Amino acid sequence: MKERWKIFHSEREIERNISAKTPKGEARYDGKHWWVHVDGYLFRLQKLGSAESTTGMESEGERSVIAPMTGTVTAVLVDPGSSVEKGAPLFKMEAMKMQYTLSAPRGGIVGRINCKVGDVVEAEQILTEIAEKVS
Amino acid sequence: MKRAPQKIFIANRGEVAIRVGRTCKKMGIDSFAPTFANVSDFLNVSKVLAAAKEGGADAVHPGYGFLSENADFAEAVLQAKLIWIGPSPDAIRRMGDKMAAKNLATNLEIPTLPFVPEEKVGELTFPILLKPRAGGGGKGMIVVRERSELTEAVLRARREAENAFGDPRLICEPYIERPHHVEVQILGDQTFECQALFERDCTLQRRHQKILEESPSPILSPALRKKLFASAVTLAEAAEYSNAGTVEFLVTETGEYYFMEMNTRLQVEHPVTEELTGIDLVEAQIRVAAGEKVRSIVKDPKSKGHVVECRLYAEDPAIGFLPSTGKVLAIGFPENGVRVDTGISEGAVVSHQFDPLLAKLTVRGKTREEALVTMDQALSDSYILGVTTNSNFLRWLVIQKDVQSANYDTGWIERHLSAFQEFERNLDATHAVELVSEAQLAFSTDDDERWATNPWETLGPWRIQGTA
Repeated sequence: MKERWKIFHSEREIERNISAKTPKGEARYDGKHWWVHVDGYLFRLQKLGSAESTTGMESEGERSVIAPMTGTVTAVLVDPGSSVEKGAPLFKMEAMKMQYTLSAPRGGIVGRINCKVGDVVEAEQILTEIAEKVS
Repeated sequence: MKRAPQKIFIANRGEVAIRVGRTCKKMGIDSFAPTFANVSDFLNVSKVLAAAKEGGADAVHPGYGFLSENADFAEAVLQAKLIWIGPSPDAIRRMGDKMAAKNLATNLEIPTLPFVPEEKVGELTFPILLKPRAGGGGKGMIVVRERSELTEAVLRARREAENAFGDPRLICEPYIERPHHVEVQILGDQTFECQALFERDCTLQRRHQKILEESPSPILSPALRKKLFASAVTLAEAAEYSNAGTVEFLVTETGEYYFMEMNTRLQVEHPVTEELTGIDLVEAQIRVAAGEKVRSIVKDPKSKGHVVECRLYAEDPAIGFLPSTGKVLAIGFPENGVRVDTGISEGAVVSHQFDPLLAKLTVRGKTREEALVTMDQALSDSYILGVTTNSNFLRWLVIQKDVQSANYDTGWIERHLSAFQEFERNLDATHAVELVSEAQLAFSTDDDERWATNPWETLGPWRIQGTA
């Protein structure tokens, strides 16, 4: 039996052989991710579905503009339906007294905007999606 | 004023309130901090003062942040006939305005960088640095490399200054490439006699905010150190400064130094000085406020070994140190060999409203090398689960060759961040997956269940933590 795991901050996925000995560490589940302290380092993990179920689907990260943290939207720089290049600034946010800009993960057409200036958005909330241009 | 405080009101929260309260308890002085529902109340002079009076305090310790550098608050405390554990309102005003402080330093022939108010920025050659005139702590500082970037940078800097300090005014100065940040801890008494309590090197920064502090500074020659101490004491005495304060300098690669600013409060990184000298700075602050002489509190201060402090932040170095939020599901620190200053515990919610500092770890070694090894071990044995922290980054940082040989400047982290990101991508997560997979197998994972998995504990393979 094999399981597939996504490791945050790593492009890799890991397959786990269940028969291995359990290492020493701490782990907690927050309802979505596992948080782990092992070998002196911290990891965030998510169990993935079986390989078949995701085949052929584009991943969320390719099309979605996701708030990386909870914070306040200070500017919406695009309109729904507008065409953007990869890396174009879309939103400005502020959190913990810092300002930053969210950019288009790919070129395409901006979809519905799920927030407005002044909204407090949660971490990992999808602010908009970029549809591929059909030419 | 010659009156020892009996009951100290700590106008602060979290780690700061705990830190100050610890010394009060040691000295046999009652202390308490307010429990405001809104963080903004900590900035409200009349509310804070009302809470102090209501609790029967006869003294106020401001901690750091919030109203700690607010001269009007200090004045209100004194007018209410309470003991103010800090410098006089006049001294706060004198040093709080960066231009006034630089003018004073210039008059005392202490080296300063030329600076101009925002309107005269055209007089400087690029690159320049924009800073909030009322600010501190690195917030709102922006480097402008070319004239074409200036207009937008000024707008941004003004907005950040307004947000952080309620004052959009800026000052501009030449930007020194590859500088070191070295600051001198000062303690002054009510006769304005001041003593330098060694330096702290805070060169390792990200976003102009300190992340690792140490003492002694690895880059100061004995002669340069002497000059910095003398300049700091001269400035503090001229400012009629009493209580704890910090004089910050930029030190260049060629050994020039420039006065930058003075912070008229206890610093976040004060544990470095405390571990280096054995002096309890909060105790010293209270005794000075009660009228004691600096000379009687710190006779011939001595430093011992090498001290390193690391700041654990709720932030994600993998995406440029953006602040992270979440709920603390578990927290653990080593019990020996490291000083831990923290205000959070299991169940704490880290929100975007607060400063993202979670904990400070401070260690001492006989040598710098030993202190860095001890810090690596302390970081390795510490964990905060449920919110992304910079812990992996700090571990990576203390083992870098440039850090170990002190070959760095305030911009080093920004230039080397991608090397860390590469390192983190390649961390071996096999054990992490095994641990979690095993925990999932052992129990049906309900969203509300949280497991601690430590099979070396006494009660069988799994320990169930909490039922919340």
